[in-house]
Amino acid sequence: MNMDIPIPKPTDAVLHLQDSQNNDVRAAEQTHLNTHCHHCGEACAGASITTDDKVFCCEGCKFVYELLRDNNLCTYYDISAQSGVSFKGIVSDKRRSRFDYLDDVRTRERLLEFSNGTVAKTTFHLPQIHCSSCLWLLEKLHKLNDGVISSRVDFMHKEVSITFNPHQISLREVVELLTTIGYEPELHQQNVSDAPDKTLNGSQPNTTSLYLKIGIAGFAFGNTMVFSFPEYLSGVGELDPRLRMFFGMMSIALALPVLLYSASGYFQSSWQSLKQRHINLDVPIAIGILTLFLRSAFEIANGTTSGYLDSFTGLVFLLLCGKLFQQKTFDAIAFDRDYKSYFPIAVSVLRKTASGIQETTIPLSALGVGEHMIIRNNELIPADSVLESAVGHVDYSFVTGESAPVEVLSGNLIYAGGRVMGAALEMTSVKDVSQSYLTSLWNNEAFQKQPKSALEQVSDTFGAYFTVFVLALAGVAFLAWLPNVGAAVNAATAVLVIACPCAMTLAAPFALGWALKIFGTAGFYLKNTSTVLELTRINAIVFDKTGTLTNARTNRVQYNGQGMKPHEQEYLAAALRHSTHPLTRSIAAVMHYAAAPSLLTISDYEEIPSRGFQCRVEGHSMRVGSAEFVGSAMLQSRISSFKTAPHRLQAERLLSQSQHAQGAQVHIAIDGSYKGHFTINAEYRSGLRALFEKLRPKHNLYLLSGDNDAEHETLSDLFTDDRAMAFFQTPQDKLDCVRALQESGLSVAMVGDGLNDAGALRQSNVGIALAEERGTFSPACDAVMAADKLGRLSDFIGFAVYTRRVIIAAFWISVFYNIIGLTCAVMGLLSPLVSAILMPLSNATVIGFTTSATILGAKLRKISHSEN
Amino acid sequence: MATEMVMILVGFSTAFALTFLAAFIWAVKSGQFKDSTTPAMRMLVDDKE
Repeated sequence: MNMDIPIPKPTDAVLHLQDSQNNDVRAAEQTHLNTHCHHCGEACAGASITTDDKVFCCEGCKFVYELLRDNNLCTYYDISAQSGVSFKGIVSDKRRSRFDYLDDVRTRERLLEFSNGTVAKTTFHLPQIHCSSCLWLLEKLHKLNDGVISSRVDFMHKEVSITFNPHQISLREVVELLTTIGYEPELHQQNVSDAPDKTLNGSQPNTTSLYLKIGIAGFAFGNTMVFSFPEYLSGVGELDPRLRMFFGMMSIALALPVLLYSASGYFQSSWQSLKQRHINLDVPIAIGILTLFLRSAFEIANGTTSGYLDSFTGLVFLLLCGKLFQQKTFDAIAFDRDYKSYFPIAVSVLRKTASGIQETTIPLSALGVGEHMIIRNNELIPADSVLESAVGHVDYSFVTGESAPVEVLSGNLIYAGGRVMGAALEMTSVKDVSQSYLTSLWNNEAFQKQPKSALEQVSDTFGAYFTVFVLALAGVAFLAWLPNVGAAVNAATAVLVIACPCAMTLAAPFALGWALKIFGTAGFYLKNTSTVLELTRINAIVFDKTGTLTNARTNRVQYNGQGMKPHEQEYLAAALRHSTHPLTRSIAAVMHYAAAPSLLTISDYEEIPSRGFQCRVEGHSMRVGSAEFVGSAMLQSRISSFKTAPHRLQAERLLSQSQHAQGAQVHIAIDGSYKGHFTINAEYRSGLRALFEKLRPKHNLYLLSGDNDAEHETLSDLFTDDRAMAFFQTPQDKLDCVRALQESGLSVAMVGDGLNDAGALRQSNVGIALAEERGTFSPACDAVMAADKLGRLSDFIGFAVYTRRVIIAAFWISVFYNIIGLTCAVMGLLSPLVSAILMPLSNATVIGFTTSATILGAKLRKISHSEN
Repeated sequence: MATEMVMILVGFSTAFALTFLAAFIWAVKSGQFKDSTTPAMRMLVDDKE
């Protein structure tokens, strides 16, 4: 085994240990087949490596373990299970040179936040950070290298700040040290070329200023309340006028920074929206707080009352607290999403085992550098890779918007986010998977179904109506009191002051944010908050059959026909590897091939969706698919050259029997002669009957299957209505069918696998992609669901409906408060005391109600078990 | 007389309270609120040496 990992400063101890390991390695290779790596916790498929009675999946993991052991840092493994970052692929000298640019003086200066010759400081973004062990190890960097003075981790932002002595260790060596222990910093090109550190200029000042705003508003709130209390307690007129003026002036002094600094965001936002001739929800808030301040200042100066400044500061304080809470919730969601294992997506890789090369499926999170992947027709490439196959076609439309496939040749670099077209491609990953990249792809505007999210639309429309309503009411109140100008102004301003659209500003983001988080823990991943609202409107659900209602993994496969010669079996196995269809995948799973199938050349691969595929293996033509597909081709292509009757007869018989087949069948023809067919008896997922019974009362259920109608009877049980089922559907048929349902006024959810149903998923109102085993990630879907959670679909929809009810209830609470407040205002009864009680109370009730109702509802409905 | 007393006392107490506000502003500016997750975890993983 080759051990040429670059070690910044290899210690003798490490080198010595490497030599003594080699014997153990061979002995252990045979024994540990199904154990988990001591370092990264991943299953050790095939050859594994041991040292100190501990098993490792690769040399990289073992190396990190040894490095930690020699530095007495093994606590790393005690803190949390599976702490290590998978270290797949040994870093070669070639790869080492990719950090050369860090030796460049200008790059270095940009990356360093501070440097005085003996002390330098820098911050890196490490996307691999995921547990407390990461934190512990990264703060012990000074034990691994003396040049590091200290290191501090910011867990939520996945950052580490490192202070080091540039005389002892260069910036490049710091990066290499991090890479060696499995935490390669994310050094984006723009990160290196633009500002010294993008992350520092990005989110943090924002949070910092939000804290400052809250602090100042809170301080003013507390103190103005103290100044207002004497009047509340003694009653108007009882207080010494000098004292009242003094308290009033103090309140204004305290409230000014709140108006000018803490509330500035609302003025800016509403000014922006007014400039675009548009009213958002911040407009009524801005009008309200401005009126509140001006009226208070006026009344204080007048000596009428001591003002409403406690309400004013309290309102701003609570609104900002709501904002902070919301930001924290979304931060936590973003943290989970950026962590690679958030999505249940997997990828096929080839690994060497004792019995030859084997194809296995590993979760995307375990995919490292140097992995040999097989990406099939229509699948998404998860990481930047180098093509191993001779030639292939990649569609970069997700990345560039250009839909014409690009031809790539062996050795070319393929970028993550591309989609393979045609024959499956083998490639070696050269970069880590970027989950945040996949997430950003998912959120790409090209896949937004509406220009604006449903929530934004609703809240903006509401904001506009609310503003108009409040202004109108203020006008009416003014006119009603008119002969008495003082009372009229009083009533009108009171209306502007007391009306608060907090139900929409606070309730919806809070409830939906919580719902998104709760769904995530239950294995149902929604694209964004408006998908929750979209789910509640669904009244038709379309299911795909194969791979969705049936479980591709537990299918029973049977072969009927002539015996195939060993080389034919190998050809077939090699050809099957290229298809993504669930049926052919089930056959491929039971085929055993002796030789490495990757050695066979496949050409002219062509897949006709829902029919089958054809290709040439080592020059032999191969047709796999439905009876019609295989039979008609045999008639066409061989009718002239094959004069012998048997072939013709066979083909005709095949065509005639295609209508009444038992179970799903996949027929095989090699070199134009019919071999036989595989019968796949689908195994339905458990819990379907219960699910359908729960869904039926409120939803129309449809089935769109690309396969034959062999399962018609079994499915009749589930769908009851024959008209709700359609078989022999091509992807285009499915899309058209979804569109037809939408045109008939239904709101359609499509449940299917991400690849063959991509078009229908995109067309539907809510496209739910079922994720199982392989890389079925499609940016066209609105939700990804772990396949074993399908039985809970009705519960999920139910919870979405419940969340909407919570929002509506919160809205009515707010309406209730507003009615009380507005009644007082119109009648000219609004006193500082009423407003001081009413305004904070309504905000606090709405926040408390939505949060607790959403979490409690999830617990009662058993959507979340352990979530707080 | 009592009014003047209250005014003076309120002045003092507000000035005193302002020092706390200043302390808070300093704390935010110096980054103590930047990351509230990591210190909680760091405390639990620190080893005994």
